[in-house]
Formats: sequence, structure tokens, C-alpha cells
Amino acid sequence: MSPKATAKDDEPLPQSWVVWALGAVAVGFVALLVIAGLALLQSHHPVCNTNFPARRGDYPTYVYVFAAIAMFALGSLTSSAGIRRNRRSQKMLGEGPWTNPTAVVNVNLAVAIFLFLVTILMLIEAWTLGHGVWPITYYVRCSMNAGAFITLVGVASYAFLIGRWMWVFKE
Amino acid sequence: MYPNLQVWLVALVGLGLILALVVADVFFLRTFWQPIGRWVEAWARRFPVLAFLLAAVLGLLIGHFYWSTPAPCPVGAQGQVLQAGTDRDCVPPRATPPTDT
Repeated sequence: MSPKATAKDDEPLPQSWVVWALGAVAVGFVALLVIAGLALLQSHHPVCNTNFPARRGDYPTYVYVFAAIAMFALGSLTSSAGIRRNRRSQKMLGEGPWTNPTAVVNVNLAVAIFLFLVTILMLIEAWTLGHGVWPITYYVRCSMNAGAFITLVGVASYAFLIGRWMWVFKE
Repeated sequence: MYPNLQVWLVALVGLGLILALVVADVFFLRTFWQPIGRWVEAWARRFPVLAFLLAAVLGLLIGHFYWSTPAPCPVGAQGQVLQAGTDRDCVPPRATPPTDT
């Protein structure tokens, strides 16, 4: 039996409506990006204070923090409920259905690329702080001032994904 | 100088990463029969400490970017509080108590 067939047999695939819903979310993100890009690049005014961006936008800062915590917990709950309902395997990478060597390499590579990206961004942040240039944090605050709702959606999405993927338990 | 282009870059990286995950999801579904999320869950079960650290770093970043305690408002030369224009959520500095005379 090939590794592909093993993974297919042991793990029920997501239902089709889930795939369509995720596709719709992806289209929504593309639309948000286009709308934000058009609004930002065609604007003749800066979208925030160019001396020092405000620390909060239209929503208080605790809205972002509690939304992130709530979505983190929700992500974990939806993941564990799906595992119980579908009696999905909770084996580790390299065991059971998760043994396809190419897939294992791809997953590890994706995590490494993500960590590399975060490291690069932190190095840029450190360099800018040391050279009197606006750090990335200021641009993030500026984007929070420019589009509070889009920022909230982005934060909540990341927190949901982290909770769903990282807050997992072994069998 | 307008920061609009850089702000759009922030949005591009932030939302673009999620879009990259969607593309990766399609690739994993077609090639390995399972969405990338389930492979990452298996990775997190294999490396729980790394998964915890990764989640902690991302949580720290969210807190760093979005959770700011209000700073004291700047005070002008005549002692007036300069609240407008800089920090929308700054707090006026506390008045010093009168000294006993």
C-alpha cells in the first residue's frame, strides 16, 4: 500500500463545504488586499501621523488582545472536536499516516522558512531601532490606524490558525 | 514622506502569508491527500516544545504590536498638556501634590 493510500484511508478528508468555505475566505483576503492597496497607493495623504503613529486605532488595544486569545482557544476547540467527531488519528509526524518522506520534508521545510522569515523581520526591527529609522512596529501601528477592522481580521486569523495547529495533544 | 507604501507592504506580508498557506493547502491536498493543517498538527505532536515556542513567539509578536499601555502625554514649555496629534490614548501626567507650607 502506498503512503498516499494510507493517509487517504486512515484520515477522512475535510467535507467539500469546508473546502469551498476556505476558498471563499481566500478570495475575501485577495479582495481585502486589492482594496487596501488601491486605497493606500491612491491616497494623497499619509494614513497616519508621520512623526509618531498612535498606539491605538479605532478599537482599544485590549480588543485585539482578547480577540487573539479567544480565537486561539476557538482554534484549538474546533481542532479537538474534529478529531473526536471523525475519530482522526493523532499520531506524530513520521508515524502512521504521516510517513510520506516527501511530505515530512516539505512540512519541516515550511516551518524552517517561516522561522527564517520571522528571524529576518526581527533583524530588520533591531537594525531600524538602532539607526533611528521607523521600525516595523510603527508601520504595523500605522496600518492599525488606517484599517482597524482589516487588522483585527488578520490578527484573529493568525491566532485561530496557531490555536488550531499548535495547541494539539498526543493520543 | 508617506508611509502608505510600507503600510501596504505590511498588509501584503500579513495577508500574503495566509494566502501562501491556502496555496500550500491545495498542493498538500492534491499531492499528499491531506490538508497542510493536519500535517502541521502531526508536526506539533512530534515536536511539542518547538510548537509551544513557535506559538509563544507569535503571541509575543501580537502583544508587542497591538497591546500598548498608554504613555504620558507630552507637556509643553508652559506646562500645558500636548495631547492632540501624537498619542490618541496618552494619559495626562499626574499633577504634583502641593508642598506643605
